[in-house]
Amino acid sequence: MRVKLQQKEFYQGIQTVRKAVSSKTTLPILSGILLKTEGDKLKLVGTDLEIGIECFVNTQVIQEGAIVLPAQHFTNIIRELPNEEIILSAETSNNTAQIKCGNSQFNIHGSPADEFPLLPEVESGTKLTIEQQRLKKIIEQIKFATSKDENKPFLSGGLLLLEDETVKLIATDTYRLAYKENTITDKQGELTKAIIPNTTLQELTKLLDNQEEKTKIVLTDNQILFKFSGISVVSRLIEGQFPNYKQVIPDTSETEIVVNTQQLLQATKRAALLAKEDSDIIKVNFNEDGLIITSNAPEIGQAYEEIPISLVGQETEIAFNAKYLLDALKVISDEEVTIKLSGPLAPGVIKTKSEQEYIYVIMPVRSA
Amino acid sequence: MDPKQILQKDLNQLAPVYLVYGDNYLIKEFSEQFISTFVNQEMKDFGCDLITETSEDFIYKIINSTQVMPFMSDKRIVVVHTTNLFSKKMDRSESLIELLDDFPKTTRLLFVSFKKPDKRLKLYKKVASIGEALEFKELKYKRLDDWIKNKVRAEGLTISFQAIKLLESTFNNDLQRLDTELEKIITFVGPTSKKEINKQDVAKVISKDQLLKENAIFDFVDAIGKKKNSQALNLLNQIMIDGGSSKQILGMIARQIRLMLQTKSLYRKNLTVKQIARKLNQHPYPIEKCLKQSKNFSMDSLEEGLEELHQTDINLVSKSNPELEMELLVLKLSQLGQ
Repeated sequence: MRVKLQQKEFYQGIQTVRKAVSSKTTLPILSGILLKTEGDKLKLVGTDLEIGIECFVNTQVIQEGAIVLPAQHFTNIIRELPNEEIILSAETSNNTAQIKCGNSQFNIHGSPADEFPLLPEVESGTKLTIEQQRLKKIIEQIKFATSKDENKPFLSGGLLLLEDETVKLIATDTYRLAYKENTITDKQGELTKAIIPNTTLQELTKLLDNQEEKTKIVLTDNQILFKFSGISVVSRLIEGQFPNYKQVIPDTSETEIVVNTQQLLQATKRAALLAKEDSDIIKVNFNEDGLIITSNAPEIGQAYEEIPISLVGQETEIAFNAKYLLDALKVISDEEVTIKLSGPLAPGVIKTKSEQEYIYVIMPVRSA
Repeated sequence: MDPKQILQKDLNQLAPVYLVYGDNYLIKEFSEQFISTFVNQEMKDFGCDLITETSEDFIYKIINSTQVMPFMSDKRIVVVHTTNLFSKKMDRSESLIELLDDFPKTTRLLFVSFKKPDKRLKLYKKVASIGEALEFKELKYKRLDDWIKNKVRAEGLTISFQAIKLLESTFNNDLQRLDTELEKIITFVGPTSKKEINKQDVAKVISKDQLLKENAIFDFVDAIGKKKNSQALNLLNQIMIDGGSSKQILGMIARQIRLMLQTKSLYRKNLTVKQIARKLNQHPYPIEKCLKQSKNFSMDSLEEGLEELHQTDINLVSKSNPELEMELLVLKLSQLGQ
């Protein structure tokens, strides 16, 4: 194999697929990146068998071929090279590669390309498209609510529900639940349900761009493919039964308030500074005159925050884990949010004004 | 209190906190039954938390989880699987005590401790005072027999007394192991065969690794006693490959030599094998074997042997090749005079 390509573009490509390269693996080949010429492009692939990322870099192919190079050293070398033309050549007989750029030259040992696992072909399945920025937003608004509990693997991802004209993504760690709904227009296929691993959601938000360009999604029984800007991400799905989230979202409420998102976010952040160590509990009073947040760390002191609100229904008070409240407020871009409550014992609900779109349910804690 | 009585209680009658410890199999089983009895299965994921001592923020997780209000139930159930919480003082255990001092009325907490708790620890005292600490004793004798019988009966089969004894002598009271082996045996005879499981069935199916491993170390010390050099070295090699630690093997040799020395000196005082066995708190069979082997050594050389062991013990910690040290020891012991 012998190819010529630009350092900047090459490094970007490596960075993209590097995210799927596993750091701890029992299969040494997986700590490498596959480089393969395809037409007039160089294909880069990284995988840890859970998630696989593939992307293409423009090159001038002089001789076709393929090799696997150790991700860590290879990335470091390309990163440090000047933004000039790189000549990469690989010798399959002894699995070594030579990188030349300006006056620098590196020889590194690699592995044969045919030992590298093939990414699963995800072609037939349920298909749909969605703009990159919209998908990015959907994922960002729910991913933080996924569970880290190893005992409940089915909660360690986001539940994707595909209906005829809507896509829903839901995540919960059983202390809070985030639900995001959005419209789709071109769904084809029968499959409606999948749990996407948290790591895949994390990588997707890093890779997805804030642009109108569409992402193609293909869902099969145990895999999901995302294709956008020349990048393909294939991920395995999580097996198991996601809990019935509908039961968790209350449909009635006794108190309803509207509050400025930023004001609430800032006030909560400040109050959390004096929340009791190890519990992060803040108390929130909802009165006609305003919303009052208090926190109390017995050995340090107390905090008091007041924000104007408009309230309909009964006055009430409730305690939350400040962290859970902040997580949601941080990802809401609407100027105002609606909070619905039914007393201090029932879950609180945060909704964005654009009704139905984003729902965040948060379990109250004991207000000591 | 009998654990079964707890499971028969009403959710609202439960104490705020329970601690169970003792036989690992039995406490795990209890924890499962506790969850299936007291947690609304439909809302299991939201109404119950199982927290295991794996991450650093383990105590934070307990505090956080117990403070959350229950969902579609009167009580929230939190189960904690722990190894160290009750056996040594941990960094944040003070926060846990604080939590227990002012425990949420809406939560019921079950600690499952895989290590025997240290009853002097403040946390243990706190749990015992506001709740209950229950020990699941290891099953022995008749209770172990009954446990095996019940396991088999639950599958619609019966088991002979000899078969039970063979299982017990092979796996002691390791219930986890017995459970797996019984499952194999039941699959082997056929769950619908309605037959009585006999000793032969058991012997055919059970895993023999443990038996072989345990025997190897006894054969090894016997070979030393009989001064059979090459056999002893072969067995030593095998035991070390299987992961036996040199310290452990050294301990077994020391035990054997000490036993030979004690047997020999008591025998000289004209005590019978039975009397020696009683005096040394041993079964007569190994004593008889020891007595035979001790004829290969003089009293002085046995004492010398103990000194060799002492030297090897020092070498093991100060030098870097345990295999070599052990081999040298075996050779030195075989040269001791009669």
